[in-house]
Amino acid sequence: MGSMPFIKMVWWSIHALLILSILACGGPTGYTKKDAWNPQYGYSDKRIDNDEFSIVVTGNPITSKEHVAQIALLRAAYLTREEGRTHFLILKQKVEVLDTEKLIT
Amino acid sequence: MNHTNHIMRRVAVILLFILLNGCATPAQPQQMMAQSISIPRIDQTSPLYHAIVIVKVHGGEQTNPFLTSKVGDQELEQALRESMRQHGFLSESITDVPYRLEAFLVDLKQPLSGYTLIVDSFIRYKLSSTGDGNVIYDDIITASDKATVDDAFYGPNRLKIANERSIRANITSFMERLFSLKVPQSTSR
Repeated sequence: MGSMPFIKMVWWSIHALLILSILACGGPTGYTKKDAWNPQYGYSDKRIDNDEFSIVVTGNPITSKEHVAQIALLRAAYLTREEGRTHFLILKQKVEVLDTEKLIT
Repeated sequence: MNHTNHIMRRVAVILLFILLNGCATPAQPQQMMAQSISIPRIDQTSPLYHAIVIVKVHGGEQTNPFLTSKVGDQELEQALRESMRQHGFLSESITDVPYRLEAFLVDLKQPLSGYTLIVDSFIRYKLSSTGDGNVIYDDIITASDKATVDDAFYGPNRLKIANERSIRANITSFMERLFSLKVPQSTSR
């Protein structure tokens, strides 16, 4: 008899955790910078030359290629302004869909 | 009390051992060199035989021992240079060389954790003619490789091995493309 409330509590806790985890995962990757706290998804950039930058955007599994491209374009626009320029030109682009099954235990 | 102290000392020694060996180390050039067995040495009659000089390798990162293993510029350049030398592409001279190569490590996608670590490397290779600056080849090569618990039980070492294998696969792929590249006979020699 005494164990029934405990079982109910565990049942509700599991469901609450599931709901919270779904909410925490959120939607597609947004315009966020990759850093130590968020190393997997978002954008990062590196300077290649005085006027040339490399921008890499990694989206989570529910992010479309088009959305990833938009984030890259937005980052390019921001970088252009940060460098005090008015226009940018895309020299090279590549889209890869990586295998999402990275953890094999 | 003595027994407890003895156990505590042993635990402290083990922890110290783990701490000292747990520092992340950078990828090593020898482990990133292209595998010779998969691609032959270029023929002496090829226009690319001893015809390329590496002018710049960049985009790498220094390894912070308290964080994760990375691939540095110097290590990547050394691996690329030795790979090209072994396969006959590298010029012995740095002057009057028909082609120049620039490599840029665009990204190194590393997993956060796992028993099997898969690393994706993205390197841009740009081969151009020294004389007129014409771009002969310009592409980003992607390569993936992994390291398992069988390779290294400790995570940082396992990641380093995965990094090295990914870069090795990347450089190997580039060597294969160079081998099959159709280049006109250079007139600058």
